[in-house]
Amino acid sequence: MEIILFIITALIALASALMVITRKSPIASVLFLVLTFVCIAVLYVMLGAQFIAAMQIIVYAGAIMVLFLFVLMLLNLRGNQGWENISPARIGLGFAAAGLLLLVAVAWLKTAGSMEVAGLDPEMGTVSAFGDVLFQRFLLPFEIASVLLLGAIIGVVAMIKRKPLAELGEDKEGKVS
Amino acid sequence: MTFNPTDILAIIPEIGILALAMIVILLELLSPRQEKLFQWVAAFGLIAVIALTVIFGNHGSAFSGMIALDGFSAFLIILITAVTAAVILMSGDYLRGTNIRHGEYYGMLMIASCGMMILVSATDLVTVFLGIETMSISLYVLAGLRPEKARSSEAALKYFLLGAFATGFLLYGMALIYGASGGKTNLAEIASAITRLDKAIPIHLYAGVGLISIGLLFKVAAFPFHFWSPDVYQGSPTPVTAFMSVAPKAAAFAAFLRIFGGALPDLGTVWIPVIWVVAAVTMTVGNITALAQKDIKRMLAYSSISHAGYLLLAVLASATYEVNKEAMAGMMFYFVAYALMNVGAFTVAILISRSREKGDYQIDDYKGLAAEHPWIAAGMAIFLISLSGIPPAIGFFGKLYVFSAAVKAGFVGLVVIAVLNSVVSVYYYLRIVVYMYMRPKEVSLSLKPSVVTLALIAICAVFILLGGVLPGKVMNLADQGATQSGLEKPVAMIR
Amino acid sequence: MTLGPGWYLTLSALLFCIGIAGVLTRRNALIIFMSIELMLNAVNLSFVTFGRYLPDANGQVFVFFIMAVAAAEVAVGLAIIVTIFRHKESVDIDKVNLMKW
Repeated sequence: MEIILFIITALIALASALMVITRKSPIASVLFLVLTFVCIAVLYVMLGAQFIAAMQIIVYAGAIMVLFLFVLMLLNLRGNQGWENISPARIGLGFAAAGLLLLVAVAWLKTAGSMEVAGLDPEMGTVSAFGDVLFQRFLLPFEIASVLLLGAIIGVVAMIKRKPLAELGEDKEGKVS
Repeated sequence: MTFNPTDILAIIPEIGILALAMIVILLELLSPRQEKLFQWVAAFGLIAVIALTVIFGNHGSAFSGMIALDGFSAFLIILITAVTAAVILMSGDYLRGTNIRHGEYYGMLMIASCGMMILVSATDLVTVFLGIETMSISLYVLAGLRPEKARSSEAALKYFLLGAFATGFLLYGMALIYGASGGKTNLAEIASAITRLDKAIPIHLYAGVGLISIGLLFKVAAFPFHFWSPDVYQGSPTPVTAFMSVAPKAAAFAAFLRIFGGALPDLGTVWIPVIWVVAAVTMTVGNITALAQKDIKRMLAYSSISHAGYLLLAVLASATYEVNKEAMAGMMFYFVAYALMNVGAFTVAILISRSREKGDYQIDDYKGLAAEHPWIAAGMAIFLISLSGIPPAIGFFGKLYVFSAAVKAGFVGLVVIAVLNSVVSVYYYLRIVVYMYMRPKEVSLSLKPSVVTLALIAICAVFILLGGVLPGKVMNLADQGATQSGLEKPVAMIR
Repeated sequence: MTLGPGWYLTLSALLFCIGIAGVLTRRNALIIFMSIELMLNAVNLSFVTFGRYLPDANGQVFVFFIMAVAAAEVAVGLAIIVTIFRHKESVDIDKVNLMKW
């Protein structure tokens, strides 16, 4: 039963991932990417990682993808954004590189398949078990993540918000976006 | 496992620099016109951070093995902080010609340095990853801080897309190592887990090592992942380029050394040949391409690629237990030398380009500089001679220490290639010296150097010469740091 | 047939390779960026799988940090793409003339 669920989810995930990289319209790509993320969230639940599954939906499928869609609407892209201006050589190169890596991947997966399998720890994925690890062993990384987010916030503001041009006096470039 | 309050002492430098970043950003909100004030607050604050690092410098491992403030990391933290202070001082003049907000710019520089501090003291894959990302995300922003210039935006986009791509590889490598070592993320634990595996090493561990090295080679701009760096260096605001060419490189190499020398020495038979070839090609490609450059920022970018090649020798040597400390100390010394000469050279480059109409960086602009500004030309000559590794300057001893560690570890062939490369590099460094002293000037440069700029050039030049005359002093410090550092005895020896 | 780690890891490797192919073939900066997100998700799936079958809680925490970083990266990355768009009226990286990689 579980295996059937896995196969169905995995096939949907793979198919939609392929759609992400083959669609002409970035909006279609975003929507297929959301579908992939939802499938991955299903797999997380099957792997007993409930908290991560919830985060996957909230952070990835929710926040990040909405941000993508928002920027797409903001830029209002249209026209020749598709495959047609890509040389076949580049497509060949891309798939050759990916295929080579895949060969390597399949080679090692044969050994990974024989990995010793321990029983599922039903407590592991719950919020309380997760929090225990996060706020004890990973206390410092948690704080570092806050520094990183702070840096990203200040960075985006610094990049977008400019000093008014009048303050500049001599502006060699002439125009400010 | 629970939180131990004294652990906070191990992250004092990070806390200090973050507090300083906040202070400078808030100061800008309160009085946006006091740009000189931010600069001096930042510079003196960074000196205070250096003092704090010296005081608390030997705390050891903390936060359940996530981070270690040992001699190695304290030395590099001090170096990174000093480079940040120098970059902040050289930025003042540059920023006044742009519409960058000074406070935010200094704040971003300091947050990037905070990421690098975390990276050099990281002893766990999680902290390595978060350190790299804090550093990189701040650098993407710094590269794109002049969005009114197409080049700056392009540099940011290129750096960002390729950097994020490389992060994907780095993370996949970490995931595979995590799986293969039985759920370990601590570097020392990974090393002992790999030793316990003995000969039955799963293939995905090898794949993990390969993927992680792709990620790290990208961060240090080594072949074949170097192609982003000339464009990014050229397009970024020049003080940021000076910063990028020194500090993140030092931080990424420290992580490289901790991961490959500290956690994976048992897999040396696999990664050493690969890194050997990468090092040889990196230094050759960097030097050969630098020969053809007409823009000084691009030339210095390729020169920094070749220096990354030399530094990979130290990573290779660090996997041999007998010379592990020596390789670490050599790398630390090399970074001191490299920081001095690069900061100096970029300060001169900014000065020259500001007197040009378009603010560009042609090497031809240096023709006849000595006749007009003999002292600045003398400074630049010292930096270039040191970069090329000609004896009296500190750059020579940097190469000497790294190369001798590599010879002791048995990489004689690679050292020969490195020495040949150094000879090639003399050509393009000294070409500028020849331009400055032996060519008639084409355009008159009316340089208006500020006192800070002149002081920076003088300090760098004096320390390069002092370090060249008394290399032992710096080397003692580096040795001390390497000996104090908590790098575990490579497990191969315990066996 | 029982569902083992190999199944999940194969899926993860496949998704990672699709992500790589996307980065290398597409020229639209936004789609390249989405492909990178796909790669990160493949990594996350590997971490959770290893964590489940070892069993070990560290893998899930690592995934949590990757998500936090990805969120920050998206914010910065999209800001950069917006500034590029203001210059070029396009997010096609072939039109960004320095981008010869």
